[in-house]
Amino acid sequence: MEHLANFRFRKGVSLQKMTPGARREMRQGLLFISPWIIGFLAFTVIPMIATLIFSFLNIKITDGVTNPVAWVGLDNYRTLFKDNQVWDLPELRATWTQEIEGEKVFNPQVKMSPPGSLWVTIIFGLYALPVGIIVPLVLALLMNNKNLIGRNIFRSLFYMPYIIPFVAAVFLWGGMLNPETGWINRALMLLGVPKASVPQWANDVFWVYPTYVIMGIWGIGNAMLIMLAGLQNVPTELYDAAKVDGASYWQSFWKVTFPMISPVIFYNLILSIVGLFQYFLVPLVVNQGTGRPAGATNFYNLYLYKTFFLYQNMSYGSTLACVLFLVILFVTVILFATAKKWVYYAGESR
Amino acid sequence: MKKQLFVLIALLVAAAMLLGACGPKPTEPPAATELPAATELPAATEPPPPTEKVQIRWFVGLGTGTDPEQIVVQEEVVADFNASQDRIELVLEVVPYDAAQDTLSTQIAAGAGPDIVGPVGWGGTNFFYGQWLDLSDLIAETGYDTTQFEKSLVDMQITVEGQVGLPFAVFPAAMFYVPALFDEAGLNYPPDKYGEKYVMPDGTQKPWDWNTVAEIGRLLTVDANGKNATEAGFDRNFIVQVGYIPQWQAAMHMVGFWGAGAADFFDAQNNAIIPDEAVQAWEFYFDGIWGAQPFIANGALSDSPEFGGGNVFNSGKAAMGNTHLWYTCCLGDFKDAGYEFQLAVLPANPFDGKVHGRVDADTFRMWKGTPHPKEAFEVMVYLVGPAVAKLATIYGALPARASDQAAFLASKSAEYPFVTSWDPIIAGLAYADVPSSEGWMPNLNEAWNRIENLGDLMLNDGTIDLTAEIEKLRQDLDVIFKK
Amino acid sequence: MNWHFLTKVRKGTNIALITGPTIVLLAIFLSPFLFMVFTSLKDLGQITKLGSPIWPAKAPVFEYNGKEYDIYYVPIPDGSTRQLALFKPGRQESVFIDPENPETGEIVWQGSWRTLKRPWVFSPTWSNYSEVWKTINFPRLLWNTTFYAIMTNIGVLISCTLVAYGFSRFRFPGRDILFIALISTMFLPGAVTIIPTFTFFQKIGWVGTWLPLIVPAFFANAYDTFLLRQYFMTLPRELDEAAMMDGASPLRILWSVILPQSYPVLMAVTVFHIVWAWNDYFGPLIYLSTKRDLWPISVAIATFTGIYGSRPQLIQASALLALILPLILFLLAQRFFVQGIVITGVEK
Repeated sequence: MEHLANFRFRKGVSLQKMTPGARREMRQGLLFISPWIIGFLAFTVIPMIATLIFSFLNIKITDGVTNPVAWVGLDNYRTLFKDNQVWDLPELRATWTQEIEGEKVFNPQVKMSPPGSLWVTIIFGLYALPVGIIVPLVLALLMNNKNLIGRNIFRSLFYMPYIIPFVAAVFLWGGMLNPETGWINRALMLLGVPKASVPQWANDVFWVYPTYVIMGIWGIGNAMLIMLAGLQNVPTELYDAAKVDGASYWQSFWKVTFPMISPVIFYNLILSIVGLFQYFLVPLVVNQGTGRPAGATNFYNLYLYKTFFLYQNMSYGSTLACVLFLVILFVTVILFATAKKWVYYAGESR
Repeated sequence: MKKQLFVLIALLVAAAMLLGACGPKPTEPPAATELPAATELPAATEPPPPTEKVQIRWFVGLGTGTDPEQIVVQEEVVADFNASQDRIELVLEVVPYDAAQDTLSTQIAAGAGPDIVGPVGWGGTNFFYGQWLDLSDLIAETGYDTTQFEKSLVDMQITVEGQVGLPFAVFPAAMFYVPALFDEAGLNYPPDKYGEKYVMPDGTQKPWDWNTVAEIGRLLTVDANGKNATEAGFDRNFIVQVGYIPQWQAAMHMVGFWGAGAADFFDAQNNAIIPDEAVQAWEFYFDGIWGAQPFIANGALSDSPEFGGGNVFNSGKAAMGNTHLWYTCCLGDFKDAGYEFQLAVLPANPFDGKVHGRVDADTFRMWKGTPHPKEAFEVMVYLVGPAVAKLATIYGALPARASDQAAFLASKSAEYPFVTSWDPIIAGLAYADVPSSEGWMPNLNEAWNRIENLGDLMLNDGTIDLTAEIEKLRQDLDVIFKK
Repeated sequence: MNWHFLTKVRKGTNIALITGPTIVLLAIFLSPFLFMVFTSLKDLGQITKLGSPIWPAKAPVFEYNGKEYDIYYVPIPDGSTRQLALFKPGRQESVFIDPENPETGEIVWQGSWRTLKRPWVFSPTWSNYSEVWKTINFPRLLWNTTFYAIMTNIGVLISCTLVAYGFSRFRFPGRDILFIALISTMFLPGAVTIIPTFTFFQKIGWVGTWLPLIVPAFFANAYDTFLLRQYFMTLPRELDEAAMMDGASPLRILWSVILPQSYPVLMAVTVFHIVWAWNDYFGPLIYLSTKRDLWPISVAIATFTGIYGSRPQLIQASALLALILPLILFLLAQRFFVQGIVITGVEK
């Protein structure tokens, strides 16, 4: 992945100066990659341009009638920047007590108002990204620990749920997380949490995001193994050297392990962010796209999907897609720009 | 290594050839109740069928018809039709209610809408306004006799788009209740005639309105220790039985029972208005769920498997529930568990003292893009004709043709022998919601979605400021109506 | 003190300190499987009963005059507890009968019957599985899903191998820029292309067939190309240079020199792809929504669970049936999963 961060343009070679051998090599190479070039043009470049053009038109079906297509310039973008369903900021409210029969009972609860769809995605990311990096990393550190017996078995078992179809997994976790009877709330109550305070998970605007993160926790196997492979590549001499210097486990983690596996973390981070902005299949399956509770799972992409297929506004859907593209582009560029500061590359030689 | 590679490639090629050449055995019998009506091979490998039948797709999901008990019978109806002639192949497509709008939109967007959609009420009809075929020409062409229905019912199916349907069924509403739970609490049953009063245990008479429903609902709401909602020490976190549930009623439907319709939500300039009745209805429900003495199940409780996963009355844990005749489609689990229900009349709005019912009128529609209108119409005539006997029973639908009604009531009495009288629900026909709560609004899909979000918020968050949320709804609707 | 003994103790403690919590973690991580199995074996009666055990069980009932009455543990004033059938429930007092000798008549008990416990007996309901099997045409769904997975896998193997070979063994101007373009498609949100693509496939009449799902697989994708290219880069060039000297064509070199050494990575691509295809939901959902008989397992299960929302036992049984095949694939092909990840992981 790092060649993206580290890329340097080579001096261009003009076609005229190429030797016949080099020309043949070029012909053959292009021939071999032609399936991708064709697919790239047909399924990526042309549709992208089309999406951009759609966003300047008004292709939509209202009351069953297709409007005459017209060029509307930036109208769709103006609508988007005023669209509450995208931008509505969530409000947090904390209550500490609950009144039962005139008696104040201590029962802390955080409530949130349903946010607009862009914020839905961002708030979900605030939970999903750290979990998606830290949990696999911790597991990989465990799997790499010499004191763990049966490392291969553990590795396989932690990886295993990754291959389970997500449709099956979300219903499974949905049952586990049922506020009234799910095993998680039963366990919390066994641990002494009063029933009035247990999270209402998928029924609560505030808790629904952690709920979805938990529903996705079975997908961490891949990231775990990638991190594990990264850890196994760290030369043992470095640890030995750190030990000689008297470094604690924590110090050697930050001084040796972290820098050495930072490219792998970076790779996972990028993939997680891209996945985050595309996230909507789980809410689509769990709630059939209704956005329950109270529209709090109306993820940006779900809103886009509904705008296109349900509200039948193709142009506005395209506008949403274009803005999404710009947001992802912006975030990725920022990440690659900061990567130099914290991602360490052993061999800068490519 | 090289050998293994060839084995891999050989296996893949063999598998591909196998897939391409034979496909699943065409004779494979579809299981009796399977969801996908599997009579076709994957398109890529499909051999031309011996005789070209016209395929007519029947889409179920916008209204009733998606319950497992109903699917079985609908499959039978399809099989009967297919056996009755050899030109048309009727195919059933059942989609979950929550996904039905999305799925139908996708299909229509793909230019591959179904030929027949239904049963569908006014809500479903309005969501796909402009997509329905005017049947007038087909009726004239085939000489279909519409005088077999009451004229008013036929005319009811005329919209701006034309005669978009034939009368099929009506679903009046009533208050369903479980007498055993009233007995246990020592309460009298609710009235079974409009105009009668409710008698409290101490003999005082109360008008049968929503306030009375709340009052007895609290007595019928019980926690794990057997205390009711009015008693000291009642624990609202361990409710095992609720007094009342608006069963399968969306936020807009609740408004309908208090006397406002969709048309009351906007004025001539498409400004959004929240009618008083809507505020009254929502305040009633919100207080019922989150007030000091709750009597309605909140979202988490009604979603739990113990409370029927949303179908609370069916789980036997609600003493009363207002719903429609179609609810009698699927009380099989309720009956099997040994519960019994009875019917009472709908309560009045305490503010104006009047009863505001809701009558659903469902029927079938034809998509205007259908490639085979004639054949689809033939199916339509079959569905509202010979198939009524079977379909009306499973849909719990009072047939529109007067001559079919006696048979329907007989079949319902046989299904639920413990119901002493069906009169309360039939009497509900006189209380149709005009204007309809499922009526048209500008940008209906999005507007409905936004109103549902408020309904969902009320179910799941007791800490909201309802008045402020209603005002927020008004502002949002104002934008949506003018989009 | 024996020094060896001490290190042994310390080592033992370390092992216990690490392995113990890991086992607990794993148990929590995999506990939903148990939840699924338990739920799938309950009957509806248990699911709708408050306070029923988490394992599949039935509560005994007593049949009296043709009606069934629930049996409860009832504490009797003399301090003993009897199993009695609830005959007439009431708020303050309830009437019970003794199932052993009903002729003794009605027993009035003071208190709330809702506080009483029921005698549950372990009893799995295996018929849930046959019900699901009858309702969902699993053979067809498995067939459809396998067909989709294999057809697209063939496309991926052929096209990605060719493209990866092109990127790893040939030098030409613009190659690196093209490679970056390839990699960056991984970051491209699908939403940016879906609307025109769907419209296009609809115009040429492919919606409702497998074609929009299978054909693009023959035009290479970034993930698998990248994986293959990284692997090809690690193969020594000497062998293909020797073959080139012998006058072998590039295709010949790919077939006879590169591919035979690439068996592990091809397997890894295959298993990953099959898992991906098994999981694919959105594509089949939008392109096959009108053709239920072509549906893969993911779309059918999602629809099924939508309809059977109030019967969690059937939902969990169907989820279990849906994950069995991928699970078997995983157990058989474990090392290829790990292999593939190591290749991506070590990339530099």
